Amino acid sequence: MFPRSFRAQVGQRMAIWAGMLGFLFSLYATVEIIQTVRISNFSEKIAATATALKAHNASYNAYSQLARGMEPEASGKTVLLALGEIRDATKDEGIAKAAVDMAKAATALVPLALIHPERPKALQELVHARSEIEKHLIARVTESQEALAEMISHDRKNKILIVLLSMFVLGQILFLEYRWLVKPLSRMAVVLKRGRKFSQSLANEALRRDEVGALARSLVNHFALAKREEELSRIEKDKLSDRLSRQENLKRESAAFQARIGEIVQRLEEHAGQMAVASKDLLSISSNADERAAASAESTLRVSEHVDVVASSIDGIAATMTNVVAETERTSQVTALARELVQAANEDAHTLTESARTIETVIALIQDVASQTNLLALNATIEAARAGEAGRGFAVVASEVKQLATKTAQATEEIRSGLTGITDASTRIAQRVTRLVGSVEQVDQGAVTISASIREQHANSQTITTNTARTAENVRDLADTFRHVAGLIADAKRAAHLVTEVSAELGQQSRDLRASVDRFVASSTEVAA
Amino acid sequence: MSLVADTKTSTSAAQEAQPHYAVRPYRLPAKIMHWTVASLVLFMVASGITMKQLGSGELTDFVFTLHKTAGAFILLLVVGRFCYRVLFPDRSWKAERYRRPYIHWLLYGLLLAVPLLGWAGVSDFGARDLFFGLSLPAILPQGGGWSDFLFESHAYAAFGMLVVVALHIGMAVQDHMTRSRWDAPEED
Repeated sequence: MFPRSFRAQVGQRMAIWAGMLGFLFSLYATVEIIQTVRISNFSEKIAATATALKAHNASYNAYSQLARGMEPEASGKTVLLALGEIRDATKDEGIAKAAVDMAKAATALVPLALIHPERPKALQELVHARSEIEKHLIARVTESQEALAEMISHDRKNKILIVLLSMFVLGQILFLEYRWLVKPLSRMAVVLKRGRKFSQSLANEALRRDEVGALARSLVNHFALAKREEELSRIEKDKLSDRLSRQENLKRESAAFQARIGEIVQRLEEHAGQMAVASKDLLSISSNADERAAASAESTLRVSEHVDVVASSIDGIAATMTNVVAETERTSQVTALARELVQAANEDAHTLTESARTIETVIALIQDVASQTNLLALNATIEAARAGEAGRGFAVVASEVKQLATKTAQATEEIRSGLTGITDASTRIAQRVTRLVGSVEQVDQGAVTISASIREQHANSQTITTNTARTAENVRDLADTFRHVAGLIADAKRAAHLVTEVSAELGQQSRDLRASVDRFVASSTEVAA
Repeated sequence: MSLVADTKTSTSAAQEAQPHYAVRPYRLPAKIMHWTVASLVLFMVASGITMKQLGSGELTDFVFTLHKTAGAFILLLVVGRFCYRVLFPDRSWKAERYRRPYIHWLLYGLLLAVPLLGWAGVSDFGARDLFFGLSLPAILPQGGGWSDFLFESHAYAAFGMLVVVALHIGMAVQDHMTRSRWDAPEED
């Protein structure tokens, strides 16, 4: 219904209110002007009536004189003058007509003598005309009074209604403008001043098309902006605290890592120490075994010599049967010696087996240490990987350690295989020695039997020869075996040396590892700080 | 003719805080009738008060005739507007959209009642002549003695109507201030 440019802005609203109130005030002004004009008209009319009444009253003496016939000329003139005055003042048709009648009656009465037959009639007409004028004048007064009363009543009603309407409109304007202008502005002021949360009503006002709507919109936008900023700063704070806690975590983790690495390094050092001790033991044991093997070889050699001597003796027996008794005695002596030597060899073989067993336990220990070292090296590698760039230094060290452990394992494996050979050889030695003992016993028995039954000697000498030959063979085998054992033991010795070297290097590497870990921890603490 | 639209606003609209200026769809004939009736009502008020204030005389008779003619015209226009509204409903004329529809109905009632009271008074009084040689048909027998009462009621009802018109204007302004809540398409 309104033109499109109408947005109920404050100025436009004021124009509407001004139009409404202006209409009412101009109505009131019109009423007032009409009233004033009418009152002045009334006052003129009343003044004229008053003038007429005054003239009418003033002419009473002249009128009564005329009626009584005293100085008719002069009084008639006065009456006529008064009548003219009344007519001029009132400008009323009825009054004018009555005045003309009275003037006529007066004019008629003037020349008549007191006792004229026409005089009563003329007098009657005069009186009638005068009363007519009087009646008219009174009617005029009454009429004026009534019209005035009506006018005043209408005027009062109109004015009261217009004033009431104006008051209503004014009240409405005040109410609406309070609601539309004052309240939103004060609410916005409160929101701005005390930083209260903006309300739903403010959001509603933002939809308005007038200035208050524009204000509310900018306020709403302002609040949205402030909220966004607050959110951003909160996110920033969260990020910062997150970073701090991450740093704290890193610190804690690096401390734990340091502790663990320290532990690992300590254990590595312990293992290296143990390995050194074990390799030293191994060395001493293998030296011992070497000595034993050398002794065994020597005794075997001697056994072989003796067996050769036995063989040549037996050959001599065959040749010189006559010297049998002496020879059997000598044989007995030789076999006793041989038995003794064989016994010693047997003992040596046993010792060798035991030594091998001891070496085996030491090797098991070394192997255990090597595998644990390998495990530790693996742990160290993992930790180094977790530490990232900073752990690269000790990752290299850990790989070195791992290689050393692998080498240790290889060496111990070699030792073990050599040891197996030793064990086998010593077992074979033991068997052969047992058999040798049996042969020597047989030789002894044979010698005894020889002394008892020379007849059988001949037949038996054949057996003895073969036995002796077998014995000699066994002894040679034994000597071979011993040489083999000596070679194996030399191998074991070399391996033990290697292990010693490796363990020394392991100790060095673990010290390096500790140093590099300490360096890493120091640098990571610096970073964290 | 416009009333305050429902103030229920969606939260999203409030959050957007961006007004859109959809114009309420009143047809051109409706607008012409509205503003003609509005200006005639103002003229009727002015002429009625002036007439009463002038008392009697030739000028009064002239204003009186003018008042009667304009009143008859208003009556025709209001009936026409009502028929037009029934035949071509305004697109926004839905009861749920209005907070105070009774103001509209009150205004329509008074716009019919006030001229009818005047007409009845004139019939009783016996002065049914208009301009252009026209004459109102009598709706009451002449000389029933009701004319004073009828004229008085006519005057008071007219002032009551002015109160309603003031309310109507206030609501229309409010309506326009928050016009952005209308989602009806623009027209004219």
